[in-house]
Order: sequence, then C-alpha cells, then structure tokens
Amino acid sequence: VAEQREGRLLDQDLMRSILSMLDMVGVDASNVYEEEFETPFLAETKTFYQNESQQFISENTCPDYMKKVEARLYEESLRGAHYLHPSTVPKLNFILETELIENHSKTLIEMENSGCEHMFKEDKHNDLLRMYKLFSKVPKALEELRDAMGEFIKKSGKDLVAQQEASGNKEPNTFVQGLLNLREKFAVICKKAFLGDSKAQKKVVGAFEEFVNVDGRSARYLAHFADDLLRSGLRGMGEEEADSQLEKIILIFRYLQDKDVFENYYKIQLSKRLLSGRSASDECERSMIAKLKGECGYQFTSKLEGMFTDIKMSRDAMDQYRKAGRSKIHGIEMEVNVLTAGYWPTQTVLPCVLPDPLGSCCSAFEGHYLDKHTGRKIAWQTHMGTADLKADFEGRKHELNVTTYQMCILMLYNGADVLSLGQIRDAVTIPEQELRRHLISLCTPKHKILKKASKGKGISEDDTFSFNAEYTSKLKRVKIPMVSAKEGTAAELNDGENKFALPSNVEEDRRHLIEASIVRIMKTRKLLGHNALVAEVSRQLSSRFFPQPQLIKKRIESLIEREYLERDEADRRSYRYLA
Amino acid sequence: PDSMNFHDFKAFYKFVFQFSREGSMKTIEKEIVAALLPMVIGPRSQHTELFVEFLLQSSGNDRVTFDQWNSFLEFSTSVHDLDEYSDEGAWPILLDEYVEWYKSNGKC
Repeated sequence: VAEQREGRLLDQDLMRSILSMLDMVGVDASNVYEEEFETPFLAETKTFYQNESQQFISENTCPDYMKKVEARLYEESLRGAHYLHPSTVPKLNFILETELIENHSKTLIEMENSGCEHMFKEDKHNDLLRMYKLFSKVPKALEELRDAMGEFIKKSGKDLVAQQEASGNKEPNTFVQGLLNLREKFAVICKKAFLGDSKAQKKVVGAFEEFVNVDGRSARYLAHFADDLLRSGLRGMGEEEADSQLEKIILIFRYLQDKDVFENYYKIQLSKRLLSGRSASDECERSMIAKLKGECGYQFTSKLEGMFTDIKMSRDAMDQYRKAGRSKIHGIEMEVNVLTAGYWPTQTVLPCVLPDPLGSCCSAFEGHYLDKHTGRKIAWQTHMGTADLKADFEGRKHELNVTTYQMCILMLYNGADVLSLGQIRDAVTIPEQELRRHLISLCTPKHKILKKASKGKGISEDDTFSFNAEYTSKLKRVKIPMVSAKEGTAAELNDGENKFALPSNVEEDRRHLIEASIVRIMKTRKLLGHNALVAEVSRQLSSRFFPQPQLIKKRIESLIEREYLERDEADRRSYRYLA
Repeated sequence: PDSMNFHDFKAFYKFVFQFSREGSMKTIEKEIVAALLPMVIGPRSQHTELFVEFLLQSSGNDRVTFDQWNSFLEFSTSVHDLDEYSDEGAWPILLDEYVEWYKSNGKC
C-alpha cells in the first residue's frame, strides 16, 4: 500500500483477494486479518501521513494544502472501496482526519497571507467552502473555524468604530455603511462557504453584538446617521427607497444592547428637528418611530410620539391664537410651541431677561394659555427659540435670523453703540458659557454684526463689543449661525482615556428604572432570593439595556435604606417586600 | 458582651447601632463605627481590626448604614473561606470592597 501511495500502480484485485483471504482465515478468536494486516497498516498509515502532512504544510499555502488533503482523502476512499475490508474504513478515516486535518487546523486557520484572515478579507468563498467541508469531519476544527470568523468580525468592527472616532464622526454614513457591508459580507460567506451553517450564523450575530456594545459609541454614531437621514438624506426619495434606508438603521439597532443610549441621542436630535422644522419628511419620521416601536414596544416610543402630538397641538393652538388676532402685539408676531415636559429632553435653564416688548408678548400668551388650561405651569425655554430681527446698517436694511439669546444681546444696541462684557452679562442674564458662545457667533469674520475689541479668539473679562454699522451681506435675509459647542460633552469622553461614558440622564434614568423594576417584582413576589431578583430585573430591562449586577445591588441597598425592602431574618440572601 | 450567647449578642449588637445614631440620622460616621466595632464585637470577629483599617482608608464610604453594620456580624460568623466569597452574592457592596481590599493587600 505504501507503494501505491507513492504513486505506483498496484493490482487492486489481487489485493482484494489476499485481504479477504486473510479475513477468512480466522480461527477461533484470532483475527488474522487484523493482526497481520490491519494493525500494521493503520500504524504505518498514521506515520506516513504524519510526515507527509508536516511536509506539505510547511511548503504550501493553506488552499494548496487543503487541495492536497482533498486528493488524499479521495484516494484513500477509493482504496477502501476497492480492496480494504469494510471494518477498516472508519478506522482509516479517523487516522486521516486526525493527521491531516485536526492536527493542523490551527496552523491552517492562522497561516499568514493564505489562512482565514486572508480568505475572509478577499472573499475567497471557494477556499472557505473547501475548508468548511474538510473541517466538518472534525467538530473541534470546525468550531475553531467559527471562532476565527468571530474574531475577524470583532476586529473589523472595532476598527470601524475606531476609524469613525478618529474622523470625528463627520460622516456617520461611513460607519453605518461599513457595518452593513460587513454584515452583508458575512451573510454571503455563511451562505456560500458555510452552507448556511446555523452555528456559524449565530457566531456572526454574537460577534457583531460584542463589538457594537463595547461602549456607547456605536449607538451614538447610529443615532447621528438617523439624524442625517431624517434631516435631509431622505428628501425627495420614493417611499420604497426611503423605507430601505430606514431599515438599515433597524438592522444595526438590533445589535445594540444599550438601546437607551441610542434613544437618548435620538430624542435630542428629534427635538431639534421638530422645533426648527427641519425634518425631510413627516411620514419618514413617523415610519421610523413605528419601526422602533416594532422592535422595542410601545414603552420605548410613547414619549417620542408625544413630541409629535405636542407640535401638532401647538400648531393648532397658534392658528386659533392668530385668528383671535392676539398673536401680534407691539408689532411683534410671536409663535409658540408648547411642549409637555415629560416627553422632551429636559434642560433646566433659567430664562434670560427678554427685551421689553417681547416680555409683554410672552405674558399675553401665558395668560391666554393658562386661562384655557388651569392648573398647568409653563416655563419659557429661552435657550431654544429663534427670532427675526430687522436691522439698519449703513449700507442697507437686513433681516437677521438669530437665536433668542443673540436677539437679546443685539437688542441692547438699540440703546448704546458700545457695551462691555460685564454690561451685557448683567443685562441679559444668560449662562456664562452660552453668553460667550453667542457673543463669538456675532463677531465672526463672516458675520460681523458686532466688533470685538480684543484681538484673538477668546473673550477677555474687560472686553467690549461695538455695533458694526458697516456690516454688509449679499443676502437681504441672513441667518447668523451659532458657533458649535464641542460635539461630545465632557461627560461623554473621558479625556486622556478616550473612553465613552454614559450621558448623565441615561445613568439617572437607569437608576430609576432599576428601582422601579425591583419594587414591582418584590411587590408581587413578597420574598425573593438575591440571585433570582437580579436575574428577573435583568430580564425585565433587557429590551432597553443590560443592567450591571453591581448596579442592581446598589439600588437594592438603597431601597433597603429607604425601607422598601428588608433582608429576610432567616435567610440573609433573600429580600422581603415591606408594605 | 463576651459571655453572651449568640442570640442575645446579636440583639445587643443591633442595639448598639441604634443607640449610637445621632437623632434622626439613619447612618453613623465611619470614624465612630471604627471606634465602636472593637468594643462591641471585638474578638468575636477575626476581621474587626482589618475591617476598621479598611473602612478608615476607603474613600466614598463615609457613613455606615444599619444594613452594613448587621451584615458585618453576619459576615464574620458565616464566611470562613474568603476564596469562596463572591461579589455577585447578596452581601452589601461595602463588604465586597472589603474582601477585594483584603485580597489585594496580601492579607491572605
């Protein structure tokens, strides 16, 4: 046989006869076939292939090695069919699989330039299919292959996230498209190369979930992608195309574990879109909410829907107000959006001082509204409004579209030409950081409505600002843009470490949700063990985020302190609900 | 306290906490707890000295709750092998931190 393996011809019929003869020559319990032939045959086979495979693998690329293995396996199967005793075949196969495949599986997978990494990268479906088929014979090797795929996906995914961060998240589309491409790539690999292997598919999903949930960055980039789409990307698209774009968001959204982080950003961006009227399409907005509802249930989207209702009701209310002829006071036309506090992202900011005529407008509206809705309280959100100002410059009159704060600052110049920082600060009572940001926006090179006395970018404490009568612009109506604050707030990026920390209101929400969940469960169960309680809380909140066991424990202790719960006297690992 | 049976001692131990509270404050300053523990529980717990040391040097645990106080007694009497201690159990986080400190400071 050794000779045949070396390639020399062998009279197979003769072999068959001899071997069957050996088999028949079995007296009593001694199996001559086995002793005389099979055992040495198998031993020699093992050695032969041990050597050959070592040599092959050191001299060949992964695909070439695999082809050789395929050939040898085929050869041996023929041998088995032609002249080996049937009982020998499985033993032979075992040796082949061990020596040719199992012992070298790792080497093959990790082989530089031709191993799995290369094959995945270059979509070498045929080679991967060959590997899959070969490795299927050895479950351990197959699992290694799946693991290698998982690792590749995780690494690619992490690279995508890192790249997006390095680019400052300027093009959210890059990130999402990158993820979708990766997803598609491996969907094809699973189908073509791994024949739809379900464990492989699970591995893919698991790998995605792992790198997507390393921290909240993926959630944030996804939210920005959604914002871009809903703001302008979907403009002019047909219904089907728009829908498939929105579907992309959902595909990635499904991998997110901390969905509440996504919701947090989505809510803030939605509120900006709604209040500035910058949605590409109302239908698309609704459609997106419906999709999110489908994924997470009513709870997730009820507040978002509330935001839409508020806008609609405000519009209706304004129509009425206008018809009653009450919206124009002192020559100022005012439009108000009344927002239900619980639905919108909250920010408690003290209102600034509004210029006189405007103050009366606000009071008039407030009176009108509170008459209709007694028992309610309204708080003016002066950090969110916009205004159109008519301004006379030396050259011509312009209409400036500005934020409320910008307006407050500019209106001061009706009474003076030059004002110091201190004077402005005292007059308008805007929070310091916002004050500075707005002042800068009014004296940029492109929009120099005011002239800043000091040179350089910053504002010094004794700086002064003078009205720039020489301002010109090609347009009659000019929007004075805001200078952007840093994209990520300090809370989100741990400087130096560059790690993503949860936005503070997400953290706060989680605390409340965990406590509510604990109380709800304990109220029903009355007495429950620690581990069971933690598991149940995790289960209840899983559609929104994954609560860390330590965090749950902290909330339990807090509830014990506040006498909602106590430890059971008999078993200190259990808790009892205190009515 | 040294000669009480366990049942009575436990009641006494709890009493000490309640007695030492200041008016309507539900928690006790850690410095006071650090002084109380050796007196009250003393040799009944092999952890008294070390726990006091841990408590005084730890940041963020400035006041001790009744639950934490009671749990220390429970801990002292029922946990004999710290290798078997798991921070995923029902022990208060303060004790999790103590065990971690204990282990990382080579006290084993």
